[in-house]
Amino acid sequence: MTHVDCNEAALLITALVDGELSADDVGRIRAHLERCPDCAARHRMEERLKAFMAARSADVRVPPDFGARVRASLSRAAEPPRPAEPVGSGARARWLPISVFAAALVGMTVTWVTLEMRNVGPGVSPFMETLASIHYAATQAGIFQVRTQDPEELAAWLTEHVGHPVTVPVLEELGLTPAGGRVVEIDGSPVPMALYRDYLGDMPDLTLMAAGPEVNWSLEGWHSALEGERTVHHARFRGEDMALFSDGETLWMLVSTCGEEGMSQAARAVAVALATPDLEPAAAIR
Amino acid sequence: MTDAERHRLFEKEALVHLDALYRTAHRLTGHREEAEELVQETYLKAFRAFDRYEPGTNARAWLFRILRNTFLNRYQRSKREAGAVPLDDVEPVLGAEDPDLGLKAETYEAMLGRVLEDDVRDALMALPEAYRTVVVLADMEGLAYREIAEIVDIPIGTVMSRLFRGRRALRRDLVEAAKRHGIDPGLARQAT
Repeated sequence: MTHVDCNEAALLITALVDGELSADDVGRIRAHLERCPDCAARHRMEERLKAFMAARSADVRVPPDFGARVRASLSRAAEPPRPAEPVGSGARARWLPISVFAAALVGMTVTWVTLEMRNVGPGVSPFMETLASIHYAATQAGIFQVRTQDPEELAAWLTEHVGHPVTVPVLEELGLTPAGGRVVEIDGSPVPMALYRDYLGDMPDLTLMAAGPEVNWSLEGWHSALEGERTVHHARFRGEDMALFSDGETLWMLVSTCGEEGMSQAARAVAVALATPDLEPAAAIR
Repeated sequence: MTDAERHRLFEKEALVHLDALYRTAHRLTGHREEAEELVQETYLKAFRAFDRYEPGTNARAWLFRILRNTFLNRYQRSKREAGAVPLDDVEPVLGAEDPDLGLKAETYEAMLGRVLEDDVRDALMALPEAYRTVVVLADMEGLAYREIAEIVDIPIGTVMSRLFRGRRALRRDLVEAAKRHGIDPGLARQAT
């Protein structure tokens, strides 16, 4: 049996407490503990701490309805995509679906609403700002989606959840109509993937928010959703920049967790890339 | 596989671990809402990748791995905690002196008795993620080294050294918390 020093004993004590030692090593460490008061004290404390932490495990209680909510979200994810209906609007109008979503809702009945909004122009537009503000309000309030074909109902719903009065004329002015789940692609100039990667690919502080039936909070989701060529919109809301695009089912928003500056850079880069696709990457970031 | 079969298999293989995943997510994030989001996303990812899952392999380790990677993607990169990854086997584990070793067993016991749930949460959150994860998996979920090594993707020896260091830091924080709550080692000694 080889001699154990205190440094090795520290790891052996750890493994002893966890029941991960071979019989041979148990013998070695026990012999050391009999001779070394410091290590014996360390062993007692480790053993006691492990038991203490194991007992504390029960302090975290799983919310009683959480399992049901996870199963519900899995069922939604497994649903086949809704069939697209023909676009029945004016020749210049572009339609963008927005599924207002919030992840933090606890214990609320899930209803679905899909809003469709008319995109009044290319690139940055008041429309995008409205869209962003409604999404922002929805996420703050913890709203799931609502499905309605009735403008009055939609106006009432928005009034309740956005926090300021929304009337049917206002909806019309905004080009915002309830459209009951129609899925239509948006049109516009594509973002060259190479430019996108140069600007956004390596930024560690970006967080993705996706709104839609499929929830994806990861930057990977943003990457894969952008694999096809998409129009990315730049929007500002309450002084914050965000980048948005729709893949026809989901509204993707890119915001930053590192404060305004990081997102400003990203959104500016996206906006500049849209406007001048041949711009040098470094010039667009700064 | 039909949709119904897929759901049934997912229920049997994956959803049985929901409580363990939630508890772990709660300990990693320190918040209920964030734990819920993390577990929701973990299950969505697992569900999408379930076609590639082979029944009979370690579903729990697979799920914990997704959970941890999702956690790192969502939180750690933005907090720049990656810089706090420990040196692990580079330096000797014992390092500096450990003043707590002088505590009498009764004093230590009394101190742990005064520790509150908030103290446990704060002490865990004060640990760098690399330590927090292995301590939570080993001490709160009772996972074996082999499984933790698979989840965190580190050698078993590194699991061990991270556990040693993590627990030592945790113990110091808990002892400090107990002192703040009024257990003074000197007084406790007189009382026993």
